[in-house]
Formats: sequence, C-alpha cells, structure tokens
Amino acid sequence: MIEQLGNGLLLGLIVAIASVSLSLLYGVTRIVNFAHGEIIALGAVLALFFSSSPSSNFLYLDRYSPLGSSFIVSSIVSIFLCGIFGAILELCLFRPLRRYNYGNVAVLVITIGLSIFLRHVYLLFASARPASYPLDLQKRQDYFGVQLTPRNVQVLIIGSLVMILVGLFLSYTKTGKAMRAVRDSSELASVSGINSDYIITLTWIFSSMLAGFTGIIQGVINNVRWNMGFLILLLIFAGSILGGIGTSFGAMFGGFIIGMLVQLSVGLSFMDGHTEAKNAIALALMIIILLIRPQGIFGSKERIS
Amino acid sequence: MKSNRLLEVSALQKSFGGLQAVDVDSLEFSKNQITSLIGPNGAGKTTFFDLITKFQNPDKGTLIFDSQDITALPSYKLARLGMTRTFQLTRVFEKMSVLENMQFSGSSLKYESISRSLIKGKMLNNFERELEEEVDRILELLNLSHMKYSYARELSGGQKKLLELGRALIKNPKLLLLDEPLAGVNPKLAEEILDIIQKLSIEGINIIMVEHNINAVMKISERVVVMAEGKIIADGNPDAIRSDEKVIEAYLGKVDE
Amino acid sequence: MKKYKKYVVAAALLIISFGYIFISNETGVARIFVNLLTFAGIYGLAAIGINVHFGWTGLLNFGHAAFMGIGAYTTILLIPHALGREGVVVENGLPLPLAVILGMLAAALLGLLLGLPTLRLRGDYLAIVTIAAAEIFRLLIRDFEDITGGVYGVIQFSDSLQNMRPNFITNLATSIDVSSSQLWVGIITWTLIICVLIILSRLQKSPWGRALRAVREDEDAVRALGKNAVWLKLQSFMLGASIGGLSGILLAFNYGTLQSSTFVPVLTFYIWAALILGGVGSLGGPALGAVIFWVIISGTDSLAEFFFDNANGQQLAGVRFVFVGILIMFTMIFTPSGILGKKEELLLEIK
Repeated sequence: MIEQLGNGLLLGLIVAIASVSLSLLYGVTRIVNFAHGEIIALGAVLALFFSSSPSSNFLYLDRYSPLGSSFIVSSIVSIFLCGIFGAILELCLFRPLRRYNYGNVAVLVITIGLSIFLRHVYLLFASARPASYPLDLQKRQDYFGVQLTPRNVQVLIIGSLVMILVGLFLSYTKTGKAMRAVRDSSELASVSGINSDYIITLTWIFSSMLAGFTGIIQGVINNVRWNMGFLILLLIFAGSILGGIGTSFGAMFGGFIIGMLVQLSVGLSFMDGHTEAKNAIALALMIIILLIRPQGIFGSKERIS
Repeated sequence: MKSNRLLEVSALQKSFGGLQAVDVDSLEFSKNQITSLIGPNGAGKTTFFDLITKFQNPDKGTLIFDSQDITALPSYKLARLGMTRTFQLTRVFEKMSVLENMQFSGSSLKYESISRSLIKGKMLNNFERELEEEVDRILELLNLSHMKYSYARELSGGQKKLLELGRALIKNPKLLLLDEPLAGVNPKLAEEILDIIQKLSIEGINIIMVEHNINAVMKISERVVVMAEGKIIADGNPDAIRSDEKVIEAYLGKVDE
Repeated sequence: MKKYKKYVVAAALLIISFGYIFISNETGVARIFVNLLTFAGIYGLAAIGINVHFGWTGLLNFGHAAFMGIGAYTTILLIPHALGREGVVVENGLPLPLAVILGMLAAALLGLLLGLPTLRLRGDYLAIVTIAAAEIFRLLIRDFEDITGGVYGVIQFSDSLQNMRPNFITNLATSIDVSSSQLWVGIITWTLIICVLIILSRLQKSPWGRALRAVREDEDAVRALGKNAVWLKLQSFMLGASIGGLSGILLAFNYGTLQSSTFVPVLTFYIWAALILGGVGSLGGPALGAVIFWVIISGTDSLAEFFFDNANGQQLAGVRFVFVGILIMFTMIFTPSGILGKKEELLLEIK
C-alpha cells in the first residue's frame, strides 16, 4: 500500500483542486454542474492539441493538425481558453436560464445533456485511445521514501502553490470576498453594491481556469482520455460530500482524502486485478457518509427534507 | 388518569450559534380557548412554534401533548395525534386542485398504500365518498366551494390562506396552530378569517396563533402570551396584557406591523 | 380542442417517424421495424419506471441502469444458462416466471438500499448517489467473473422464454421475414407495457398517487398534515425500480446474451432522453418518447455516415451521443413537458 503513497498524493491533489473549482461554482450559482468534468477534460484536450507535434495522428479530422508548441505555452493558452469557455457557458446558457427562472432540476438535467454532448464531441475529435503529452518519460526516484518522478514532484509543488494562492485570493482580495458574499446571499450582495451577474461570470471564468489546470495536471500524471472528465467527476462529488458541500476548504480537504483513499486502496490485497474498482470504493464511501453525516465534515447541517 | 392539560411545555430551549432563540420554563394550554402568541420581531415566536410542532428539534426540554410525551416524535406523527399547523407563507399544493388538496389532507393513512389503492374495495369507495362530503362542508364554511375543481395555483393569496386553514380543519384537530393567519390579508378577508376562527373555537378546537395584527389579537383572543428575546414576559387576558408595563417596554421603539 | 393538440402532435410525429423508416430502407423494413419497436418498447418500459420516480414523485434517479441490470442478472442467473469464457453450463434453475419476480424484487431491494440513506436529504444527493451506484454496479459485474461471466457474459438462456412462444407467432414471423424470437420478445414487451400502464393508471388516481403528488410539491406541508413523506418516496422509488428491473430482464432476452457492457450509465441517459422527449408525468409519454427517440437515433446514424466516410463504431457512437446530448438540452430548455406532458403539473424545482 505504501508504494501507492506517491500516486495517492498526486490523485489527492488533483481531486482537491478540482473539488474546489466545483465547490466555488456551486456556492455562487447553486448549480450542480454535471458538465464540470468536461471543462476539466477540455483543459487537457486543448493542451494536447496545442502541444502535440503535427505529425501525430491524435485527431481524427485530419484537416486540423496540432501546433507543436511548447508544453508550457500550450498549457497556459489552454487554461485561458477554458476560462473563456466558462464565460461563454455562463453568458449564453446559464444566465438566460437564470433570467427565465428555470428550476434547478431543469438546469441539472440540462447540464447532464451538456456533459453528454461535450464528452462525445471530444470523442469525435480525439482518439478513443488514451493519449499523452509530448514530454519525455521519466523514471521514478525516491523522495523521502515516496516513489515519484521529478515531474510529479514539480506538479505537487505547483499544485500546492495554486491551492494556497486560491485560498489567499478568496480570503483576502476584494473580488474573492465578493465571491463569498454572493455565495452567502445574492440579494444582500447586490444591496452592498456588488454586481451579482458580474461576480458570477468571474466565478465561472475562475472556476473553469482552475478546472482546466486540473485537467492538464491529470493529463501529465496519467494520460488524456475523452471521458476523463466523467471519471473524475464522481470522485469530485464524493470529495465534496465528504468535506462538506458549500465550503471551499471542506471541498479541498474532502477531495484530497478521497483521492488518497482511492489510490491507496489499489494496494489492498483484495483489489489485485481490480484496479478500476478503486473508484467503487470512493463511491461506496460517499454513500456511507450520506448515511452517517450528510453534511460532511465541515459542512453546516443541510435542511433534512 | 388522563390529564386535562392539552399541551405542556417544560424547560424548552433552542439556540442558534450562541444566540438563545427560545428559553421557556413552563407553559400550559388546558382550557379550550383562543390563545395568541405575540411579541416583537425576533422574539422567537416562530421558532417556538417550530419547536412544539417538531419542525425543529429542541436542544433541551419536554413536550407533552394530550398526556403523551412528544419530545422525540417526528413532526408527521403529531398531526395524527391531533396537532395541526399552518405556515406563515402559504404552502398549498399549487399543482393540485382545491379538492385534491383537501382530500389529501383528510385521507386516512390506511388507504395511502399501494396495495389498498390497487384493490379498490367498497370500503375505500365509501371512505372517499364521505371524505368528499366533508370537503364540501368545509369548503362551504370557507366560501371556497366555487373553486373546488380549480388548481390551487389559481386561488388568490387570501383564498390560499383559507385553503390552508381548510386542510388543517379536515383533520379534526384538537389543537390548531396558526402561524400568522392574517399576514398580508386585506381587512375584509381578515374579518372573515377571524369569524371562522371563532366558530372553530366554539366547536371545541383549541387554537394557538402567532399574530402581529394587535387589533385582531385583542379582539378575539381569550388569552395572550407575550414573548421577547426567547422568553415569556407576560401571560394573561387581553386587558391585562394591554396595560402590562413589560409588554409596553418590549414593544417600545420597535416598529409594530 | 387544445387539450387534444398534443395527441395530434404525437400522432403526426409517429407517422413521420414510421414514414421515414419506410422511405430510408428499401429492403428488410419489417425486420427493422420489429427491431426498433422491441428496443423502443423496452426502453419505454424503463422510462415508465423513471417516470414514477421523477414525474410522480420528483425524485432524481440517474442510475436506472443499475436497477435494470440487477433485475436482469438476478433473473438470468436463476434460470438455466451458460457462463463466462469457458461456457460453464448451469443446468438447473427456477421456472421463468418465478425468476422474473425475484429479479424485480431484487431491483426493488436495491431501491430500498439506495433510497434509505438519501431520501431524507435534498434531491441532488439522490442524483449523485444513483450515478455512483450505477458505476459501482457496472464495476462489480465486470469484476466478479465467476458469478456473472465478466466481460464474456452469460449466454444461452433464451430458451426459457422462447420455449413459451406459440406457433402462430413463429409462423407470422417467417411470413414477414423477421426474427421470431425478437418478435416474441417485442410482443411480450408491449403487452407488459399495457399491463403496467393499466396498473399505474389506477394508482395515479388513487389516494396513494395523490399523496405522491403532494410529496413531490412540498414535503414539509405533507409532514405537517401527518404523512410520512420519506416512506412514500421510498415506496415510489421501489416501484419504479422494479419496473426498471423488468425492463432489464426484457433487454437481456432481446439481446440473447447478457454482458457487463449492457448496463452502463449511457443506458440511463438514453432512457432519460426518451422520458423527457415523451413527456414527464404523462402515462403514455415514456413509451411514445422511446419510439420517437429510437427513430431519431437511427437517423443520426445516417448522419454520421454523412460526416465521416466509413464511419467506424466509435464515430457512430460519438455522433449518436452528441445528438442525445443536444436532444436532452433542447427539450429541457424549450419544451420541458415533452410531447405529452402537462405543463401545469411540471415540477422542475427541488427545494
């Protein structure tokens, strides 16, 4: 089990950041966005598109060939594009839905339709086979007893930095505080002069950029697949439920724990040959939490219907 | 030996994040009468209501209804015991007709199971028929007969309040808890509602209502309980309350509805 | 007259759909029809199950595939069958009707298991948990090879059903050049749909149905009026689940084999699309929606051929699901009550 510790840290980090991005969005818009996984995947796919060499037959539609840019540049561009995508979603889809008072069930079903749509657009434009970024292979080395590649360590460091920055942003900057204000009460926020719509759009951009970042890391550590978003979405939900829906810190904590547990469970003996089932463990855990403590570790008591 | 006390509240406490919302040592309702619960905003009246109807759980205390300890019971069991409440913001079933709203409320649990509903025996048919007669009677009393088949959504605000009242009535409650029955209601309708409340009291239903409309309260209540900051500061007949210094002080400076 | 407008629309859509099938296929039309109607019927039955959940009670079940799957596996494993890569034969089994009932019960039990923790909570939780459950189900089926045959699945169980097929059906099938086993499954499916709808129709007008509609709208008011909202939801959940189980069993018989790749999340999404299209809350909506949905799906396959020369399986699936996604979104945005649904009774808000 201990050899999975490195992988566990990585998966934990990924799920943690992804959970924060979703939780942020949920907090401000109150939408459970089932298409969030696809935004994560978008980040990975775009980075792949920009960085793959033109000769790789990654894409089905041979009319479009990748650009072969440097990976770092590709990643940054990809993240920005994700942010723009989030803004487009808000402006063209979710804001009108809000204006016309669509019930949250309707919106939920719409996000499910959206996720199906996006996921299969990726499938059409990309290979069904997992693809990797054009980065050289590295060997695992020993870091204080944990087996990781140097790149993994870089990812860990960058990821943690991002997390800290996000936390600081939310707690101390004007925009961050405005986001939290809108989350707590939209009406109150507008009375204090905060433009809800503007903040919501900002949140979409911010959350989508974070999601894109998560996708890229996931792609670096594992690989890029058309349905990687869906796979990680369930873990994110589990993490958010564990940590407590509606609190960013809870989401991060819960996400991290779930990621760790899921990966560590691969090392358990009865899991031999059943590595896919590791996700089942996370999900079973989620059901158990809902049984015992539905508000999660840090959440406030949800109204029990 | 059956006690003649309908509702007994002892040592009831509830706080939210450090703020003591309700702190009632002891309160009893025994005689059949109309009691009003009044107090400035934030006094804890609605919380108190929620606590005795188990829509919220008390931190401490005991509740005894009709000689039964209901402290640990879930809210849906209380209506079966004879305690029914209405809500401040009307909660009628908008997507169902007035008739269905009433039928649902008055329908016996026995028939609300899948098996009984499939095998529609004679007993069910009889029951449904009697139920509808009862519905007609109450709708007549409330002046809603003409809306019997309309969707509840189509009712005016005042009519919805009446429907909610009707739904509570068809359950033959022993104790009826009305949460601001006159809120947002025009004066004429308010008179009608007060009339109905008085009629119900004569028929033997014990009534407790939370109200801000002091005129109405003074007009029909036989007993007035005043709350402020979670505690009971006065309890007596309308005249006594009107001249009670503590009550005047509690309302001083506060905007009265 | 306005009330009948939606039936006119429904009939028109059906005529157009069937017409399209006739026109676009020169040969083997009967075969295509039987295939389409059988699958549509099965999906329709599954959608009827979800309709009980969502349309009647406002419950969000996004893991219906698990209920279908557990019904199918329970039943099939209880009758004579052959298993896995080696084709291990299990000769003894229960009589088919009994196995079917047990399959439906298993589905209901799964409903109880999932519903108990979540029906006390807000609706989104049920949605997430059911998706999770479907995922877990899929993984468990795949991994427990000795019991379920894993990816190779279960085969050779159809005899139990096909042996019941009357001769005139076989003759009919031969005369119009369709598969007699599929025709049989199709006839059974639609017969069952009619039976289930008759039962559901009675329930809908009953005190129980009424109670469910009240729960759907406002649980607190329901509690204040003395009814146990959670128990009512649980009953509805189990009922819809068992209908789902039945449809899963039929699906297995339609395929003739039972594989772990059958009951996957996309199945659930297909069924939701059919339900939303047909009209949430209406009795006939789910079945109608399923039929029209299947026609649309076959249509998108032709579309895929158009875009990609020699489209392979992956591209077909891709285009198909792109359309499913668009369909779900558009229907939910522009006509949330579908073809046959009642707009006034549509509830799209969970509190």
